[in-house]
Amino acid sequence: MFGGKNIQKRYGAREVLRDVTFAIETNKIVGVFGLNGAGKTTLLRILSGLDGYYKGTVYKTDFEDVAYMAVENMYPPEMTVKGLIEFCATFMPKQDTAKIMEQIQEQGIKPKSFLRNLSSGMRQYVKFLLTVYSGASVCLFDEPLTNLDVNMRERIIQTLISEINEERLFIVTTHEIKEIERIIDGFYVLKNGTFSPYYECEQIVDETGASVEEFYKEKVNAKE
Amino acid sequence: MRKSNGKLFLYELKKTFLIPSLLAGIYLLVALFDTVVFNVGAGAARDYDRYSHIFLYVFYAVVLTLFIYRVFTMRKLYEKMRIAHEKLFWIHVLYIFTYCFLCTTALLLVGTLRVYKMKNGYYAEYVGYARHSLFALQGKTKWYFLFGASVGLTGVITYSVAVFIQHLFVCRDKWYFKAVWGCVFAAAILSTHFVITRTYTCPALGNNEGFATPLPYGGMSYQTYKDFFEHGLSSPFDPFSALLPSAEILRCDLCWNIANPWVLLSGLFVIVFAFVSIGFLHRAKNANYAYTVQKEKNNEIEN
Repeated sequence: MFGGKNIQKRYGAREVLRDVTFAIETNKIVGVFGLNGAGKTTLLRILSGLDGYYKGTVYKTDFEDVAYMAVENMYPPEMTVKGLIEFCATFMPKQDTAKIMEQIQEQGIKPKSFLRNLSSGMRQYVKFLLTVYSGASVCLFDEPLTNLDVNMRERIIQTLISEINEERLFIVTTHEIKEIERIIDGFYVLKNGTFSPYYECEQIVDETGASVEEFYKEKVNAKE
Repeated sequence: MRKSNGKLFLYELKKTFLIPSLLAGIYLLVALFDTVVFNVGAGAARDYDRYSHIFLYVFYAVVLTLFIYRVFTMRKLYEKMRIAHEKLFWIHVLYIFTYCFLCTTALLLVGTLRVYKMKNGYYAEYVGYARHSLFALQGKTKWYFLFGASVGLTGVITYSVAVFIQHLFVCRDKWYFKAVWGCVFAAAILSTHFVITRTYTCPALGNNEGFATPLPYGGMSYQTYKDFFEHGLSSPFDPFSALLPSAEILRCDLCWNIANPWVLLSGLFVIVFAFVSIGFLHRAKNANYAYTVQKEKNNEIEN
């Protein structure tokens, strides 16, 4: 079980996360949707352990490690792709380096290329591969489809489907709901600093007849 | 946690070991070859002193640049791996100290061997030379072996200041925060400098006990050096009667008189102050994070 209890986060006077409580089981791809500034990135940083200044509890029973694909560029442009993969392998011993090398070569990315010479889409793809093949049992993806062309998006979606298993959990935040809705099991809506109840995608489609994106729009724009 | 400490320790060693060891290795091998094969007179010994003096500054600059550059480029990546900035700081401190210590001590040992050879070959010159040589143990106090540790400490202090400034600029957007915190840090450094300039009478590092300024200004003539002590301070050593008046005395400004507890304490104070500041700055940065990320996202959308 991976989850959080009463997570609160404040930036000065502004309360970003008021009371986030949730619990997710393995073998699931879960979406976290919300408007800009809702606190999605903040929440993922807290869950990944990057931000230690918050109130509440993050618990991860049965999960060894958490990998995080950040929206901001955290990789030094002076590093080569191979150097970066080696660096990550040092700190993530379960990383499937062979698989990452195979995938980047398939995309025509040379291992000796400097990160500064890659396009933003290529860099985004390398970031994604390092997270998904990190071997971590919880993978957090912050906007994984941004900056990518249609083929690359499809590749990412297919990789997510193929890599999820009984020991792993993927949490994805994105605004590209239409593209991600076919692979997620369910989602939360982050609004006013709190999580909505967990919505099962299949159940929503069956009961309301609306797509996940339509349902989300309705929820996020509803006045309280 | 302990596991990641070990990995970080080894990774940083792997990435920083090669350049300094190649640099020092080549220079020391050449110097050693020269010492063993050729005769060593006062001239040759003095040349070694001069070149090693320059080499030490070059080595120091390379090591500092290497580590500061690594913090500059790898900071975010380590953050992503959930390695605290403070942890990286201490590991770098350890390596900088070790590299500077080992290199200076190796220069000192080769110099000592040279002077030893000179003693056997040219005793008359040895008498006049040994005491004012920079890289030789002969004719010095028993504390002279701390020369390497002293250079190491200078390296660590410089690194601490540089990393502090770097984190200060990375962490805060508001200019007044940078200004206020910068002034506090400058005050800490100045007070340290004050302590050092008031305590240089302690006979610790042979002929380097007069060190008081952090900027190098080259060699100093014997007469200037003598005047300095006669008019300013009472020298703890004999009046250098054996020295030739024309002899040049090299002062190593990378060297702190760390056998003096006050000097040592104030040096450590700057390092600890930098360490605490880095933690404080990142705590403050966290409160500002959402704003920064949103700004980056908006820039990306605009582009």
